[in-house]
Amino acid sequence: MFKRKRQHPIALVSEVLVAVREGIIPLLLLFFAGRTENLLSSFIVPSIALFVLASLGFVKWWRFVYWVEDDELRVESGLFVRQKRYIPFERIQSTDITEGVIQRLFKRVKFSFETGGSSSEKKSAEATINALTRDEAQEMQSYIAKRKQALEYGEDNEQEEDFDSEDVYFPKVYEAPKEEKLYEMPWHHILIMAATSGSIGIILTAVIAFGTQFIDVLPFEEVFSDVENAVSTNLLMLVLMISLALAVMWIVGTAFLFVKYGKFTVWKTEKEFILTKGLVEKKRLTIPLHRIQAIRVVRSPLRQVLGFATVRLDSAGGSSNDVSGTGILLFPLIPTKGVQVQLEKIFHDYSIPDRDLWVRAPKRAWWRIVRGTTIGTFLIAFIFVWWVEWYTWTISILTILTLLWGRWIWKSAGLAIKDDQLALRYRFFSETTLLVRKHRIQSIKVSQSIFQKRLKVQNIEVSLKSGEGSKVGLVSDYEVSDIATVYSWFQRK
Amino acid sequence: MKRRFRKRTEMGEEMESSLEKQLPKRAKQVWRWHGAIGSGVVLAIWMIFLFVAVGSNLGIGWRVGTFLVVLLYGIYAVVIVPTLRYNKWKYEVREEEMELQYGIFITKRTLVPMVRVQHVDSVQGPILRMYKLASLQITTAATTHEIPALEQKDAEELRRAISQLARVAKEDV
Repeated sequence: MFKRKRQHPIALVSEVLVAVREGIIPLLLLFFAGRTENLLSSFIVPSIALFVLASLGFVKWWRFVYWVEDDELRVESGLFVRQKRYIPFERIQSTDITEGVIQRLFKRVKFSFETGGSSSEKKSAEATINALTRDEAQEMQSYIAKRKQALEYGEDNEQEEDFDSEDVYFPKVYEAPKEEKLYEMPWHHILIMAATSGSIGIILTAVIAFGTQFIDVLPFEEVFSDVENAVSTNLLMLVLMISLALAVMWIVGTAFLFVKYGKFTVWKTEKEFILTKGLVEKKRLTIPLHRIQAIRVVRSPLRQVLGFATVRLDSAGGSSNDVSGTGILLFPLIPTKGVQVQLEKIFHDYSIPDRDLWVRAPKRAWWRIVRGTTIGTFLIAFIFVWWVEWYTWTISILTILTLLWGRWIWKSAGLAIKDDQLALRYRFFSETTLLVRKHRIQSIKVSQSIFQKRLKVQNIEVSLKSGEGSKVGLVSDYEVSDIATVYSWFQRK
Repeated sequence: MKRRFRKRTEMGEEMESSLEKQLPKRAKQVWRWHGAIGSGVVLAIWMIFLFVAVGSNLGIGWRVGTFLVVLLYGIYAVVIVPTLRYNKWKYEVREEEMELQYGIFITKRTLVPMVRVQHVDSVQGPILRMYKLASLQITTAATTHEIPALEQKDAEELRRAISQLARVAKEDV
């Protein structure tokens, strides 16, 4: 029914146009560089180049063949680098028929396919056929849909909704189905959130930096030389002004957080859970439970000291703003002690492992990590001291600080397996605890440098799907046997 | 559960043992070409450097010295890297998963379950084609993995096999 064939020749036109567009700048350069008295000869080289480009476009078109066979969409393409891409129907998540200007002129359409794949780098569809008749595209579309359904025969009807690409969405109308309220963020937590958020630090430093610049710029001596005691009062004024500005900024920032995260509530229905937030504009986010890939409990140093954490989760697919690289905010701020209780309420299959389940990195790895942080800071500090001629004791303080920091990194690292769940804990500044179930892990990578080989330690990296892209969890310098345990836990053999 | 970790120490040694399959020997030739092309570029840059420096009173030591660096790079890229890379590259494709092991200075070992594979591409550049080899690119929802060189017909067969094994899976992403 769908024989091996090329695209409609109109695709050739766009192929040639693309090839020419890509080569237009060198072409123009060639034209201007090669310009001689004789106008005719100055056109020869660019014309040849143009011809070559056009024929490249032609060969590209010639090489591009597509057909349907064995319940697969098959595309072969490539001029120098030949590619064969066969996509099983089951893996096609959505198909899309569009019509461009050129296509419309010739009554053709563009047909594109998306799978769950696609690494974060490439944004385009998995396969695109640039020119075919609308009938053919529709026929193919319905054929694929039909075969797909047949191949997945046996799954219940609800499952079919999975292939709806708009699984994560904000409906315009707010309606309340049978939802169970699980959690509501208390008001005072927003205050803590504002006080401990990273942006407060940025605002502070910005204001201070600006303030000091300002003091330098102001011609204090000239202005105040007449009135001697005015200097001190005015400086006081300046300090007051800056403090006031800071306070205002903090209040504005807090108010902003209140508006954004006020009434942050987590609801649960049978198969999905729902997040609502916002005072003015009520936002609502629905996440099907079966789409959840992993849970991350993040603690910045400041929040860790105060006993608070942020919980994010990674969900597959979806293209709304909240589902970008950082994951979905499940609990913006929650007491660390309460995380486990809340998680248990929503998921029965994720839990933070008990203290005695965590396996630590070996002692000998301590020095490796500390050495890394120390050498780095030491180099930077050394250059600084060299240039700025600070007192040398800053070096010693910095060294001690980085030693402690390295030790902290080492101490934070953790690895735990409980039934089907893998937990990784790691930090750079903030500590992340990643919880992932076995069947959500896309791949596992173990690596070992030649230095690590001597120490008999390895790193392990776990790749997950998150939103449209991917996420990795990584712990380093672990005992080879511990890494092997995780590896064989994941192995099916 | 901690005991579960410590008890399997033997597993550690087992993983040290490498995988069965090696790439075809001709892969080395392909990488030699890649190295040669890379060295050619470096050489060209060196020549441009010399050309620019023609007017200046650049000592002969500099010229010879930099050339030696270029030469060493050439030897490294054409002779050493392909051999090391070839020796390190191992893979295994089983019914439920595949494993890749590679890396010259940092050894990496990747495990990809078949149920996670979204699709497989066979990709063949001009040099690979010259040696009747092809590479395979395996895409999961989050990652892309590559077997850099396979016998052309093996690549085809493997692509089909992986594709078949992968489609058995009905799990969500």
